[in-house]
Amino acid sequence: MSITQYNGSAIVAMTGKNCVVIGCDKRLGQQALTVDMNFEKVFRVKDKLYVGLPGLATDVQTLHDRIRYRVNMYDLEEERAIQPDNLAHMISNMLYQKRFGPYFCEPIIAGLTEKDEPYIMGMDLIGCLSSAPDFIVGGTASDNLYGMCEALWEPDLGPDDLFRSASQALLNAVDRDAMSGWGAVVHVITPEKTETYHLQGRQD
Amino acid sequence: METQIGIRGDNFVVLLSDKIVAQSIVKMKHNQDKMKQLNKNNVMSVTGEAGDVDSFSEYIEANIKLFGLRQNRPLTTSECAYWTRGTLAEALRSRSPYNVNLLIGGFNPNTKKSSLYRIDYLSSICEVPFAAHGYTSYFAYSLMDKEYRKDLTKEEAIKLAIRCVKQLDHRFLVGQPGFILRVIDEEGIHTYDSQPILENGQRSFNFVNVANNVVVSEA
Repeated sequence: MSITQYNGSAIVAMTGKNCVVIGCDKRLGQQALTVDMNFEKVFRVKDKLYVGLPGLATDVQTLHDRIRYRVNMYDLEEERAIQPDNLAHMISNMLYQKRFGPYFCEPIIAGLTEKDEPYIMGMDLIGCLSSAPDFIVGGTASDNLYGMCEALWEPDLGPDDLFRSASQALLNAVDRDAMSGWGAVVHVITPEKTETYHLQGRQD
Repeated sequence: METQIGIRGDNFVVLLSDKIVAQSIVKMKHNQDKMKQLNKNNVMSVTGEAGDVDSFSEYIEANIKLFGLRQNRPLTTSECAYWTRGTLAEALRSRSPYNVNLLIGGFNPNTKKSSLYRIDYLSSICEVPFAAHGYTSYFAYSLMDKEYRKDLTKEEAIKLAIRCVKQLDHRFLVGQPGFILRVIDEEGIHTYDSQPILENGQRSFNFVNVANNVVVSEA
């Protein structure tokens, strides 16, 4: 088993009409043993910009610390809020700096641009960016998430419908994955506000 | 093969660890205290590779004490835990990583709340109600899942720890003969030593408060 699957995770980001959703499961394990049921993997960067970090838990935490540091430095140096595409390239660059001893984490960025257009971006563990018009998934449940998202995603969904599609995709994907689950957190990002929902999933 | 358990209550934390230092199949020492008192109300229990355990835990202990002296304020439990994680994470990606598993428990006198942090050798940290490391986790987690309550009293938490140890002694191939248990609460740190007893022909343990010889038993 790959080291990226050691702790278990599931993250999904979806685009809608002037809105995006990003969600993750809450499990932290050590292989098959569950250690914590309240371990979130999606982090706020700005009000309308979130980053999901599926992969090895230690690198999730280290990367989150480093991203926070770099974004704060960006704020101070540039005196303007960082945009989603800037963040994607910043993280991609951070990952490629460790090309031959990488962080075992495949970040997913979700947010709204200055013009309130939805933005999602994924990358591999050495920072190779990959964009998609519809959804990006990651973690040990990614195969299941691809299937669920392929079935549930539609173009131009509003925030409520998008929340529903993403939540159902996430909950049903983790139920068929032994390494992730124990509830989920979903962030719905709209131009007006960002709302966070904690979902009760199967507790087994 | 080493035992390490932590249980958090509302205003106290119980930490338990075994006392054996082993090299290969030989027990080299039977009375090793595997916990470090970081300051007045924070304790860290450490297991892992013999040399790493000593050098890492002494480094952490000394630096946290130094911070307390310099800033004239003790570090809180979360500060201890996250600083320790940072140090371990930095070492993880260096030429000399430390192979240590940690539990950090403590009481915050300002908020009157306790907390327990679990850090593994990869330095992933999580704040949990109860925790164990290594082979112990296969025996202790199921029992703690079943018996843990948010409103556990100090005595109940110690009894739960005793039940874990009893199960371990009963089911685990590599049983340990003795344990040290610490309770961290508002008054400070209380240390208990184990005392093996026979209960219907089966071995169990009582825990004796080292300061006043008060005995806590499962029954």
